[in-house]
Formats: sequence, structure tokens, C-alpha cells
Amino acid sequence: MQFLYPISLLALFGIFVPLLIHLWNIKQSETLKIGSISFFGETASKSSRSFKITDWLLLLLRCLLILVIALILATPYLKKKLATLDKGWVLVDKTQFQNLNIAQQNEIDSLLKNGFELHDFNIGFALWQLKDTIANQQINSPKLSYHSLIRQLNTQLPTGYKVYLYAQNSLNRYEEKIYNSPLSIQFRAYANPDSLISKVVGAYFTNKDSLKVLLMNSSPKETNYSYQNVTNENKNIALKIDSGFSFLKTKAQQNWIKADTSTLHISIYESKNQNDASYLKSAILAIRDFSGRKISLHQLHHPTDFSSQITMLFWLSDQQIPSNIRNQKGLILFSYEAGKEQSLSSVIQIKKGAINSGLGADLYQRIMLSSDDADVIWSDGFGNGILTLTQNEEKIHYHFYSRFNPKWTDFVWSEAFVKAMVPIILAPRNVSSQFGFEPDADDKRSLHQSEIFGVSQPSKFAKATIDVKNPIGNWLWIIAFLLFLTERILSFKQKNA
Amino acid sequence: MAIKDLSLAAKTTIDGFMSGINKSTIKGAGLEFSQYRSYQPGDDLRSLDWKMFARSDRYYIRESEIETNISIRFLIDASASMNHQDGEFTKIDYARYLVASLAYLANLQGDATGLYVFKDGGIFSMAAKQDYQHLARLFHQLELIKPEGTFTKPIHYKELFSGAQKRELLVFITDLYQQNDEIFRLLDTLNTLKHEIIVFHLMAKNELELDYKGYASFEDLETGQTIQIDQAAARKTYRQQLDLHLEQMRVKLLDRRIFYRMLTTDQPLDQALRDFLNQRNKLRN
Repeated sequence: MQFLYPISLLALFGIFVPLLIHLWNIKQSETLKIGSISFFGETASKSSRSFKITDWLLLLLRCLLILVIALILATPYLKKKLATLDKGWVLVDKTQFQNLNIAQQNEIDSLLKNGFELHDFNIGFALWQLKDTIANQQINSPKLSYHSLIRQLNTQLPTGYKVYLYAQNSLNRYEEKIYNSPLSIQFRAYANPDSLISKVVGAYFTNKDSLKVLLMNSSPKETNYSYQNVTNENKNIALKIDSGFSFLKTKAQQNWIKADTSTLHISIYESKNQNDASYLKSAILAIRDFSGRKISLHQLHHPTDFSSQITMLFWLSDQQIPSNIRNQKGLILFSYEAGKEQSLSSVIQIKKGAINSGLGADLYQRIMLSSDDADVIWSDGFGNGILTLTQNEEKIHYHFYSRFNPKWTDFVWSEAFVKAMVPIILAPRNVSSQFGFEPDADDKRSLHQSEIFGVSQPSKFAKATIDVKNPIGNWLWIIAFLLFLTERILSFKQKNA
Repeated sequence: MAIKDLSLAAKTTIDGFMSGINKSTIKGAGLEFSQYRSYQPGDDLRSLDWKMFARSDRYYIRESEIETNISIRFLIDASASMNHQDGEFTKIDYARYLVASLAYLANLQGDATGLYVFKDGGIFSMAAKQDYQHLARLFHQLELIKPEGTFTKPIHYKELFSGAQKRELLVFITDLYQQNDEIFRLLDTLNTLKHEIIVFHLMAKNELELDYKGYASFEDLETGQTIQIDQAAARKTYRQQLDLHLEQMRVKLLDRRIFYRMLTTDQPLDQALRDFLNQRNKLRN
């Protein structure tokens, strides 16, 4: 027997209370003056009386009662040993049971006949019966991620314990790591009812005024995005025009996606850095040609020419940015930062997303980072931010701590430059989250067991056992009640006697 | 005030008790007709019944019962053990009440009453007198009794022997707790004086049943000894010893031809009054 809260056993000191009461009961008796004591006889002598306790039974009962109450507070439990050899657990999410195919259900049946226990793959891993299935389908219990559930499972079951886990294998249920489990887990994936999806995630009018949609196709094997021109031929995309706006969706899709008609006005203030600006211009134009987005590119000759129509401004100058531009609402600002120059030999790393350091470029010079609180978008080889982002609801400000110049970095020469600029130009507001590659809720990619749990190795500690807690508080309550009842009856009788 | 309390209690008790029992004494003692007998020379002419002479022409002497005023002495044990308490009452309270009632009754009967209190240092004595004021004094003295110490030493007994050498009714109220048989020696002495003696033995109920709730330690009022016992365990032996003691007392007193009555302090006085009246009648005849 072990205790959940052993500190409650301090309540055992309470046993002193009935002890003291019983002792005190004897000692407190004052002397009564009576006519004669001659009839008491010689047998009763003084010393034998002092610390003698009468009512042993009552005292015992009272002490026991306090003992039991202390035990109840301490919440004792018995450990049940789990046999590890041929039995095990079958883990299925109760609510998902109907998604299992016939073969899997038959397998569960035969496992249960072999002595396996069926547990709910959810918090607590409650034991359940197949009979319960119908009744429990509706329950909407809070869901933990598979990762934390498996971690919890690791603590509950002994090493090498056999577990048949029936769960979804879709990628977006798992984190990007391999789950280490000492259990011998047999993973059985059950298919999602609809494993293929194709939907419109974005739509816009191109600079040639045709409609273009971004289409996502997801299957257990892969998810891909493709641009498609909307013409009358493609039957899978539906088009609706409502109050001057165009809405699109695929046949299977629920919600309509509104087509973007806006034009992106980009201005570059180059000051003395014409060279830098030319690299940038060509990158932007490449992006425009590739995506077909409506982008109008201007040059800002003087800061006073600034107009509120401009949605994005590249400030390629060491000059101070005028406050009217700095405070312009809704403006996306990309600025060179001024500061102490520093020579170094490093690389520019595009920190997040799919463009990884393999596509990075050499970095020779940079400006010392002036503030640490901004989000790092690109970084140097030491992890210090090269491009950082500060944003609030009104404006977005990219701070660049180098220059678009071959003296400073090879970046402008590399293919990665254009790719790295794409999210900044096309989706500036989502850059910091996944740098343009957002996980979609409808991602249908699935994983194989080895991708989830790694290549499982047979454990050498297969016979080690851990114990399952089996609380016995209920029995103690009954015992306490019986003790209390007996004690009351006894003391009542004694009082009347 | 205290006196009034006692006299009032006595009056109410006795009046309630006597109603219907007593042949009226108000007609006057000695007036009760007994018989006629013929005149013999030398008889007092005062007792000649002239009406009978007129009717029958013979001399008859009218005889009536001799009026007997007896003298009653109340002896009260005022040793410390009389302080024994049961509930609100001590034994001495009961004794006061009893004596007050008896004295009132006796006074009503026309008897002289005297009071003798056996205190630690000597006897308080009040010679017997038939007088209403005397009764009031007696009540007052009763109030003043304060039990303490042991029973009176025999050296002080001489006060008892003063007074008329006449048979008297002695009512001795005691708890019969003694160290060296001194009470019996006193009774023996009084017995030899041919007095009629009633012993009212006062016992408390808790004493009889060993029912001192919640106490385990006891002190003897007279000897000062302390003892600690478990009542439940000691009860059996206690009862045996007590019964033996009571029986011994009874037998010893009856052997001396002394009337013995044990009174429990929670009983009403009726039994004591009846006994008293019976004994008094004995003395008168």
C-alpha cells in the first residue's frame, strides 16, 4: 500500500486527542468528601489508579477512527503488477472507433480474446468495452496531442509492454520529431474517410486581367500547391460574381474564396545607392513576372514625393526616415539600418520555412544589431538578425542590417535572394509565422509508423514492471463509518449504564 | 429568616401529617374521662362528681386519665461526617428539618423539648421546656449547628446527666459513623438511665448505592483519608460491607432495646414521625 499524499499522515498526531481525553478523564476527578470511606475495603489502593485507562475498547475505537481518517486523507492505493509477457493494451480513441475498417476491428476482437485490455487513447487511458462504443460516440472530450499522450503512456506502462495503437497517421497530428517510446508499440493507422482534397486557397487578378487561383491538392502521400488560370475549360473550379467581386472554389470546397483585385504599389528610395536598387528592382520584377500579380514599381526620387498610395516602400538609404513616412498607416517599410559597420565572414541564413541554409549566401559586412526585441527573419551565421521585423496592426517595418551590395554580401547574386523576397513582397503580413508556408488544416499527408516512432528496437527490459494504482479509499470510508457507528453505540450505552 | 424557614417547614410538615391522625389534644390533657368509682373516705372531695350524687344519691369519684407531659430530648450528632452531601442536601440539613418537625409536633402535644448537640469540643445543651418561645430558641439553635471535627469526647457528657431524674424520650439523630464505638458507649450510658431512646440513622442515597457520578477520588470527612477507587469495580464489595454494617448497627441497637430506624435523606419525614409518636405513646403508658 502506498500513499498519494503521505504528508496527510501527520494527522495521525490526532491520536493523542482521544488518548489525552481518556487519561485526563481519570486524572481530573476531584476528591469528593463523603461520610465514610470504610466500606471501600482495602483492595483499592491509591497508586494503582492514577494512569490506568478504563474503556479500552472505546479508546481503541477512537484511535482507529482517527487512524482511518488520516489514511483516507493520505489517499492510499494498492499497486497492481502488470504482467508484461504476452498481454498488453489495445489503444483506440473511443470516438474514432467507427473509422476502423473491418480487418482492424477483427484484429481488436482477437487481441481482446487473447487477454489484451482495451483502453481509450485519451487522457487517463480509461479502460472501456467494445459494448460501450455506441454510447460513447458522442462524447467530446478534450484532445491532447498524440505526442503528450504517448509521453504519458510511457510513464504508465513498463518498458517493452505491448501496445496496439490505433490512431490517425495524418501529418498534422504529429510534431516534427520522432517519438521515443520504450514500449513495443504496434501502430495501426486508420484511414480518414476523405483522404484526398483539392481546394482553392487563394485567387487574384493578374496584371493581364485574367483570374489566377492557388490550388492546394493534398493526399496521404503529398500536398502540393499550383497556380491555375481560370478559364471556361477547367470544370473543377466554380466561379461566382457577387456585387462586383469574384468568388471561387472547387466543387468539393465549402467556402468561397474572394479574388484579390488590388494592385501593389512599390516604391524604392535609392538615394546614392542606385546599384543596390537595381538588384532589388530586378528581383521584384522577376517576382511580378512569375506570379502575375499586379505590381507597379516606382522610384521615389525625394522623400517629399511620398504619397499615401504607396503600399510598400524600400528605403535603401542611410538617411533618417522622415517621420511622416515612418508614421504612415498601412505602409510596409523596408529600410536599411544605420549603425556601426562590422566586417565578418559568414553567411546569410533564411531562418524559417523551406528555403534553408543550403541556399544561403556569403556575408562580408554587416551593421551591428541595434535592438534585440524584433523578430528575426534572416540571420547571419551566428544567429544574429540580418533582417528583422517589427510590426503592429498599423504598419510593418523590416529592418535590414546589411546592404544589397556585392561588397557586403553575395546575396544579391544568388537565386535565394528572389525566393527570400517572395514572401516579403507577396505576403508581408505572414512572414514571421511560417514565412509563407502555412500549415493547412486540410493537409492530408500521412506518416508511416517508422516515421512516427522511429525503427523500433526490441527492448531488453521487457520484464520490468510498473504498477497501476488501485485506490482503496472507498473501503476506508466504509471502515471509518462502521468504526464511528460502533463508537457512538458503545459510548451511548456506557453513558446510560 | 432562617428560623422562620425552619419553623415554617416544621409547621407545614406536621400540620399536614397530623390532620386526621391525632386525637385532639386541644381539649386539654387530664380531661379525658376514664371511669367512676365509689367514694372512699380520704378521697379528695374536689374529684367528687356532684351531678352523679344528685342523680343517684351516691358518692362517686370521677377519674380521668392522668395527664402525662413527657420531656423529649433531641440529640444531634454534629461530627464532620454529617456534612455528607447528596444532591443539594447534607445530612445535617435533613437532621435539622427532622428535629424541627419533631420538636414542633412535641410542642403541639404539650411535651417539653430539649436539644443536645454533640459538637467537636463539647455538648451544646438546651434543657427541656414546654414553651412556645423555647421552641423558637430551639429552631434558632438548630440553625446554628455546624458539623465539624469528631464526635464529642465522653468527658463532656456530664451535661447530659443533669436535669430531672425522670424517664425521658431521647431522639438521637446520627449517621452512626464512629471511630472507637463512642456512640454506642454513649447509648449504653443513656440506656442505663432508663430513658426511652430512638435512633434515627441517617443515610444518603448516593452513599447507599455508591453512586458518586464522575468521581474516583474520595476523602473521609472525619479522618481526612483519601482513597481512589473505580466505583463500578468497587460497588460489589462496597454493598456487601455496607449491608453488613447496617445489619450490625440494627442488631446492636435492638439488643440494647433501642428503637432503630434508618432514614434515607431523600425520604419524606412521615416514617420518622410515626415512629416518634409510637415511642412517645410507649413512654406515656
